[in-house]
Amino acid sequence: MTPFALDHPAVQAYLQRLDAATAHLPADERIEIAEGIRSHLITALGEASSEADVRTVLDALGEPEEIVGTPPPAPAQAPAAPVWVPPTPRAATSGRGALEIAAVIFLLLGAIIVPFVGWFIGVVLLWCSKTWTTGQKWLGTLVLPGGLAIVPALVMLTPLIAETCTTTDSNGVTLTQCSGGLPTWVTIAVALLCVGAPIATSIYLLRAAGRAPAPARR
Amino acid sequence: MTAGTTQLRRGVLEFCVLALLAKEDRYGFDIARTLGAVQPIAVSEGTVYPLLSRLRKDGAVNTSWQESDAGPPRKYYSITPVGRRVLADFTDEWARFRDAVDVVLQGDIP
Repeated sequence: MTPFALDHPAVQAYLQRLDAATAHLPADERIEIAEGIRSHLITALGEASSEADVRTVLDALGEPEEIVGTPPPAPAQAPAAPVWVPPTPRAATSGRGALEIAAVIFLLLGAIIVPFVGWFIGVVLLWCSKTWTTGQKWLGTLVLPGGLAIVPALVMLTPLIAETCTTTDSNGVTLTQCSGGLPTWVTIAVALLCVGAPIATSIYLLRAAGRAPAPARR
Repeated sequence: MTAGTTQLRRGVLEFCVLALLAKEDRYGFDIARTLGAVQPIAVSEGTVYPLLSRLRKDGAVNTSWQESDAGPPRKYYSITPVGRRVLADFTDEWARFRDAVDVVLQGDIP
């Protein structure tokens, strides 16, 4: 038989500290941990043959406060999360919910469906969501106002910025004079920007919302 | 040991427990000693007990009492289908995570 058991003073002191360290846990978890450690100690002390061995066993177990301390993050333990996850302003938000998806759709396409008003609804939804930061909301508002409706608007403006040419015919010499207009590459760049920027912003906002904390999974 | 590596050890410990149990059922002391001896994962042996309790609550492991040749009966832990799925997901995730960290650590970011 072993000369060492749970009634050793150092072991008793250890178990008392463990009891204090687990005080904040649910009763069943607390009992289960104590039971595991006690059973561990019975086995480990069975191999101990000196006072030093007893200390070594306790050292190998670790400080009770350290053992119980911060639980490791586990994918399958959402209910325990509030105990140790530092609360952040976003913790209670819904991530990419119906509101966020509706906001992005209205920002991008709203003005095409209902001129002006559609896009404006998108802006209101955008600013109502708690998922995005203020910076992201400004981005959604300013890039680009009207969303993709800016494309038909641009088409209507085309005559104003297009090149105008006049041809005069005097004494058999044909003169062609052109004025205004932008180089072709500028026109193409502006067009790409007007289509690409709102789409890029929408993708960015949806991704940002997707990364934001979701509501409790269970 | 820095606070960062302590967190890292704690973070992977539950998957190491699941990986041990995926091979065979084990009792608490056995799990604690085995993982306590693997350098540099080695955490304090006691750390596995709160972990086992949570894994059981989450349905990743089951427990059963079995007679022991020496001393009182032992509580054996076995992995459940849920635990196997968690382990498989992590194994996958870990490989990609490790590779990504390696790339960053080696300064190979394009």
